[in-house]
Amino acid sequence: MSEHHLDLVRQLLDRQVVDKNHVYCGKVDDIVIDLKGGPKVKAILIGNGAASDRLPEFARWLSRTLFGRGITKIPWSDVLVVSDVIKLASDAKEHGLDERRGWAYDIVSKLPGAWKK
Amino acid sequence: MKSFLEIFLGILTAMGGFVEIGELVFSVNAGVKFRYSLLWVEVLGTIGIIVFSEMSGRISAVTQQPVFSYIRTRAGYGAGLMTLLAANSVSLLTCTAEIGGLALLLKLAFGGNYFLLAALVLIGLLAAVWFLSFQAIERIFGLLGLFLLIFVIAALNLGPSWGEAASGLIPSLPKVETTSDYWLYGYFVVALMSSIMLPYEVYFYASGAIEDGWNATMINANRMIILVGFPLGSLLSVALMFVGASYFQPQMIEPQLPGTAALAAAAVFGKWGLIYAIAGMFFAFGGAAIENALTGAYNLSQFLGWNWGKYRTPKDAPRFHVTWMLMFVVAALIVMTGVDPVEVVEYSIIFAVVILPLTYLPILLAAADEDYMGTFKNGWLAKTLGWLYFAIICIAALAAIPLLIITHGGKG
Amino acid sequence: MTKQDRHFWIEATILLLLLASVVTALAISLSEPLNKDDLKIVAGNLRSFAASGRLLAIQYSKGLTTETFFRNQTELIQEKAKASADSLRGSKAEPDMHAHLSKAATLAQEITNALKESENTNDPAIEAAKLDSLTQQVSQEEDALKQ
Repeated sequence: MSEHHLDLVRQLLDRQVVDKNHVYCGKVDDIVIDLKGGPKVKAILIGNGAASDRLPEFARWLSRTLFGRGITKIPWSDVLVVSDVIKLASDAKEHGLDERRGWAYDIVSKLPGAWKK
Repeated sequence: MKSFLEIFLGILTAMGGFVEIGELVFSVNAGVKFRYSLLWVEVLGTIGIIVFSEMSGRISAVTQQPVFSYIRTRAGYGAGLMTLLAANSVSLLTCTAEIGGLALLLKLAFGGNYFLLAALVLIGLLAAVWFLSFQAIERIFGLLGLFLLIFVIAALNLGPSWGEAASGLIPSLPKVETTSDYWLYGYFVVALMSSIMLPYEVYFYASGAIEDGWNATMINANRMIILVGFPLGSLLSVALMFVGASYFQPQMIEPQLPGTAALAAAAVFGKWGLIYAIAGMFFAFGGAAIENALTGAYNLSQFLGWNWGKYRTPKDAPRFHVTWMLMFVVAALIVMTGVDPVEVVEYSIIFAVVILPLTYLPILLAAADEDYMGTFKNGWLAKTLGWLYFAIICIAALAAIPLLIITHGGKG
Repeated sequence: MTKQDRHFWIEATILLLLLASVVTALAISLSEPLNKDDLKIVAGNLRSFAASGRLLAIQYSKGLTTETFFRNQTELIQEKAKASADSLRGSKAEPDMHAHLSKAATLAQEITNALKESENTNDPAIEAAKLDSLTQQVSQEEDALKQ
């Protein structure tokens, strides 16, 4: 990573995250910064637990009650490129961010023609 | 470069997909209550949807992302979330109204229990969107919506007063019987404009551009399709207004059911006119139901960063697919409560006006942003028209709820 | 109580108050006695129902619509008229509107009955004439309310 200057809000926050195969992995909901020894980005967070932090109190409670508090932490070392999307070096599966899991996948994969293009 | 045939089909598809149940009811009733004096609103609304659809399509073609993908980075998480909830609520209600309308049309054509027919409509819509490709859906429902042309022919046959119609193109206060009718006129201005510029139209257009694989070379073809297809589509709405003025007003009928509108076609052409009218409405409402369900799924997926698109294998975008299915299911459940679909769409159209500024501002700003669009950013025409319409939309948004209350829910 | 908790309860209370005020406003407006404007709107709706039923019957008698369409569309309009009639029966009107309310309620019931008969008729021309007369009557009532 040879970024001399990274504007965290405009270039990182709320951007689309993709894995090495260009599969979508969600959006950057929050950023973990290490303030010791000159500010450094430690990780990016994806998940409702992180996103709901940016809402006013009541909305946050409602959001967490309805959609959970899940957070996925991706270490900064895994971020390959910061362009109009945030590309990871690894596969979405390694972080549990691929969509071939959960009840949505269970329903859809059982329907006829789910594999067709 | 797209072939001439593709552009031609695109124009016809845009034309046939222009009308949905809310626009139909408001256009006919506008004709009944105020004859031709709301014609200028049709023109105003059509130009508005052209301006913002062009921007929306251009953003998708150049940046390769639909405008809703940017809502979080442009407006922030909180404002983006509000836009998402507002837009999807309106889409859900519109989908509900279309499904109810479809059930009514089936009942008129074949008889039967309204609720059972609504369940059938649900199954039909789920199957259609699941098994058909995006292009097939667009073409089928768009082209077959052209059966509504029967209303154009009927309107011409009923002998409209062209002089009066021409003067309706200039905004002016109509001749009314009571002062409360002036408020009703204002209500119709706002509602009719909103029904032409509903949020789902620009969002669906944006995502549809990606589904169709557009890139920057498509920009001119996009403009041609919009500039020809949308005005032609608005002719269908205008024909309904004409029919309201020349046929239903003398009969003292204010149609509150889609079937009533079909009587005008029956009057001129008998049973075949009736069949064409019902068929046209069926595909127009069906197309709108599908567009709204998909828009809900597009918006949610693009907000949360999920994989989305009919172009993706379903197993690669399961959450997107479950979302549009849920949109249909919830809409159908609301229909099952027995609410009047026409009343649902009338209220959702007014709600849509209130959130219209929230919908269109991100599009306007993104299309003008050089970082996003490079040399394809808004020129002076798009900029001028865009901001002019934004001002108009803001005024309409402020006036909508007071007008709704003063006119007792739009009845008088 | 932490600052976060305090904010939570403030927001929740504001939302609740907003909701309560909307619900209350709706409840009040629904239970208010009908005034001239309300009755004028009701009369207008009834006029529209009767006229639609008449037009349907006329068109069916001329063979311009299918039987399925005629019977089902009439049924749909009849259901709306019935809802209107039921609602009027249970309503109160402002003091000087009592006569108009009872006239409207009577007409609503007559229109509902006429539409019900039309739905099942084999002689649509007769039903059309009946509905025509009812349309005129309710239209006169509507004009009276527009004064």
